[in-house]
Amino acid sequence: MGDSHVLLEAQPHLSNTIFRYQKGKHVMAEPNVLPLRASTGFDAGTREKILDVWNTDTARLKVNVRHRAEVVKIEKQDAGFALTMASGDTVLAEKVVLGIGVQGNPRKMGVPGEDLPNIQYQLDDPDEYKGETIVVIGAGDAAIENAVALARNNTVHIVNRKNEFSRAKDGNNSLILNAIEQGKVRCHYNSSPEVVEKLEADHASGKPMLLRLNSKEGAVDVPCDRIIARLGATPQRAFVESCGIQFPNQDPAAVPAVSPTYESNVPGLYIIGALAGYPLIKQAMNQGYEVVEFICGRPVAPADEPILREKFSAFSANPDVEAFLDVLNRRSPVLAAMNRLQLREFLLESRIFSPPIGETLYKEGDYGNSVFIIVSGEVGVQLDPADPAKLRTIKAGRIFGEMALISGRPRSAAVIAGKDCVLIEVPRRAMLKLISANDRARAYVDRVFTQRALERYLVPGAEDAQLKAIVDTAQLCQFKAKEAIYNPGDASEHIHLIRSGSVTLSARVGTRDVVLQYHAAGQYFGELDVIAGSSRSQTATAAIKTETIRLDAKPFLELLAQNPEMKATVQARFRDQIEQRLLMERDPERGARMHFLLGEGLGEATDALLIDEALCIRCDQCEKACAATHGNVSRLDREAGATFDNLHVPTSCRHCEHPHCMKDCPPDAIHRSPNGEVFIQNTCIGCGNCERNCPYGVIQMGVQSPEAPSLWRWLLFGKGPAPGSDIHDYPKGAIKKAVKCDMCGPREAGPACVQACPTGAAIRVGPEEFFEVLSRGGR
Amino acid sequence: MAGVSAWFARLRGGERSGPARHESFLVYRNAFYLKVAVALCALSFVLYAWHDPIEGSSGSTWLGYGLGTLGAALIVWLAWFGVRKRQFREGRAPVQAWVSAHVYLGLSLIVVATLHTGFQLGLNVHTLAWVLMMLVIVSGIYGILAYSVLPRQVTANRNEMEFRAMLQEIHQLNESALSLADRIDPETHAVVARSVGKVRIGGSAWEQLSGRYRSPGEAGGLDQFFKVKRTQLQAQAAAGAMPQRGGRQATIAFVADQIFAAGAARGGDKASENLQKLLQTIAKRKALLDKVNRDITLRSRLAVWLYVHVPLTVALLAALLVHIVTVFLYW
Repeated sequence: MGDSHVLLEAQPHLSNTIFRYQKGKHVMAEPNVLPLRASTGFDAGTREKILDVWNTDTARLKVNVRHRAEVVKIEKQDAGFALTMASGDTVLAEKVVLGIGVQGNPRKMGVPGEDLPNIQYQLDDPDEYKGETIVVIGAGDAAIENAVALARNNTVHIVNRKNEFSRAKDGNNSLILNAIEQGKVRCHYNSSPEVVEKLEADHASGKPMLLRLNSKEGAVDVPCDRIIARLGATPQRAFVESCGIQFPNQDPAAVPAVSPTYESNVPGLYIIGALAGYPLIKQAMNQGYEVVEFICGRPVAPADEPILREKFSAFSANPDVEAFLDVLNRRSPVLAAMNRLQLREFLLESRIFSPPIGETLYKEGDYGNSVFIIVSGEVGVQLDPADPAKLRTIKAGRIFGEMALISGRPRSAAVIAGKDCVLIEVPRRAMLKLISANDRARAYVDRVFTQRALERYLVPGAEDAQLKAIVDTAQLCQFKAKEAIYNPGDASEHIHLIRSGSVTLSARVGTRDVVLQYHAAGQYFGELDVIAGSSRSQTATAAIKTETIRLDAKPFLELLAQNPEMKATVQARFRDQIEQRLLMERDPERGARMHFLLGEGLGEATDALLIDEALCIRCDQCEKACAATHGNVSRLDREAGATFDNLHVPTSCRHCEHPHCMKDCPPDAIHRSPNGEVFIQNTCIGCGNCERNCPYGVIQMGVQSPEAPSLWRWLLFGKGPAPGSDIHDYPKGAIKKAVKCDMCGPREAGPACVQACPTGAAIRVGPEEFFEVLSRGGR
Repeated sequence: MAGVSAWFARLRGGERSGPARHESFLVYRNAFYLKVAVALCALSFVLYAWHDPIEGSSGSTWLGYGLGTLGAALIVWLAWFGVRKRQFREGRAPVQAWVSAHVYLGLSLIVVATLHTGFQLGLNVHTLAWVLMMLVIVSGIYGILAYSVLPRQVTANRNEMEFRAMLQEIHQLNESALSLADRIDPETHAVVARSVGKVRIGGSAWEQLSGRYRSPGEAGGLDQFFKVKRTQLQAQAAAGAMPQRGGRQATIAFVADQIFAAGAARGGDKASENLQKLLQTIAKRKALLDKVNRDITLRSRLAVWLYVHVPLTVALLAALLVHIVTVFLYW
């Protein structure tokens, strides 16, 4: 600690994120394999224990900390940087390390007096305050939840800039309107804060401050004890960009690129931790250590060096990691697109192996968790399951398995290892992280995906060279949920390949829109009008957030004109599709049911529980069976969920193509098995991100218990819980972890909920069976 | 047989489990167990008609013993269903298969056990076992009918509302009613508070089953009160707006007063408006209460038969044991 430094901390305490965790929360120390090399300790434990260790170590090591020092500006100067604090103070530095995370700072009111005491931007425990007059500012979910919770013991005002709570969730909207109607919360519509004034102790209101609101009717004065402003957070990105740091693209998940020494594109400005794309505490601590060593000119081998050496040891007894990385960098366009730091991180999460010739790497229909890069040798794709010997070769340097990754659908064909092949298997998360951070890698993967999808579905048998003209026209299009992709009467100039999401084709029958077709990710649409040479006859709508790859019609038609054989296959399929469409048009009810199911998220489901309420006797056997087979915590709620025409979609996991729950799992504990089920591993740290990210509310935090209630003791003596009861009395301090449907994993009899249903009301269906369910009218 | 093959495919590992469409337990596997039961009954009939013992048909011929053993085995196996359906971690067959078999083989007992008696019924423990069995079967038939008809009615009545949500909304309507009443006057508040206190959900077993719930007296009483209150409020508004004028009254002044009164009634009279809202709230609560009670009725009708079926089954097992023991004791 001989280096001259200052640690600028915006808060009056260190490590604000963990400081704000609820009391006693257990913090994990993932990833396990990575050694800790920082000078301060860190082990999994409670929030208090960890904060205690850090505070003690910070004092022991005499770290120069400056609290309440929020940096608002970083300016590059000739010899270094000038950092301006919110207080107006300036600090000069030669090098700056940004470790500010991605959460951002709460947005302030921006009015005079906003720094008075008792003005706060978060609320940890609403029961802390009693008998106060509290003003909540904001109209979002957080503001509403705070206002309603505080109203139990306090006089609460809520300030809304608009005349309705349109931004909030439906549940919160009715919650706040009810509270206002019942007089529990006083609402100031069309109002915004103008100024906060400190009141004298002997003021008639007896309150310490006064909030003046600017409303339609003029100024309104509200004397109050406390103001809670819930105005959202300013994203860090704007601040980071103002420092001159560049982001690779507009993707909200994008992180700025850094060099192997964590230096950003601004020389002397370093980025570590979540902002650089490393969300785990241990990684960030290691980087903090390394970056200081780099800056001070004391080179260190990265913490992952031994792990990488171990990975390469299959190919050499004493591998030189750097030399290996150099070789890999040259072997594939994907690997070449990365800088050294990205490559190390990428390989750390990947597996390098060399399968024997003839080994099946994956089967057709498996759900894929990973993408493969061929470092050397080759692999064969089994195009025709009936003729396993017929293989299409993929050569070294190229990737495979990208179709399942991008579309979230099962593998479309089996892949067999060829002679002398060396492969890198990249887990889904590492690949997605790369794609969102690196435009070059993304473009390459998209191009491969488009080409393979064309070969496989649209023009089977075409050669790469023939497809080039079509692939060159590819353009990525993004659509919001419910957005029209094209309308009837539009010119038919493109074919769309669905990269992710799903699309419905509908037509107007009489006075309403009837859904005629549904296309999942990996499929294409719009080709019928192109082949027929007519304008669009239907409306194509994105069922959920969807990305398509748009291809020009002209080169496609030219290719067909040159190849009569190809044209014949396309024509045969054309006839099938027309027939199917006529079938749907004759049965508009089916369209209505399809519409309902899509609204319930089945457009992105790979396997969903559907209950026929005409058969369901409400015995809850399904829930009991689930609890009995999953540590006495049921993972489905039969009654909750929507119903249409006796078809009920209970609150139970849909095993989405692109699981929302996987989006932000710090220990990467959520995975998809080859059978398609999305499950949560035991390494869950109980952070609750997945529970919040699931749009269908199917994940809950619970404590599983190993006990199995005795049937006979309950049956004969009426003692103890019945089998299948939810057991809630678990040991105090037990860690709540996320639980969700795992489709009963390897259970031989299949999902317990379906097996236990006495009347046949509960079934599980995938997208392939939707049509069958629909055609029977849901029974 | 599609169901079975799907299951076997699953057992071999690979294909997804279960049928991909909804199918009632009555037609499970193309009503396979119905066919088994019909075959069993037909065989019993044929044997019974062909068999002509010298001492006449009874339980003590070889056919009688045969049918008796079969019947007893069936009864024990059928009763085992109560255990089986709760063994969530065991077995491979879907419970639906058990239900289908339970229903059809249970019905076949009418034929098998009755032929076993050789129609020798009387006032004894043997006939008691037969009567109990028939009662169990009759309650079971009610169950089949209930399961076929009532689930749709539950769905139609719920109209996409969850039970919990309905209770929550009743609670909220109560609170809204109280806060509205509070803004009118203390008398109204007291009346509404009383009615809130009297809200009853569900009722006695008979009320639940019949669907005729004892009215808590709220609707009639409240309506009456509100009528009186409204006249009162209107009179107040009119009185406040129209000061008494004695003597000669110019036409023009009278008209002015009328307009003023109308204006007051329209814009100024908050209490009257609140009363209107209160009436709507109470009416909404009434409708919801009816819906909740109807739901309780339908679900009690779905479940009530099990309170007969299961205890009678236990009694039947006891009577069956006595029947068998006495037969062998007096052999």
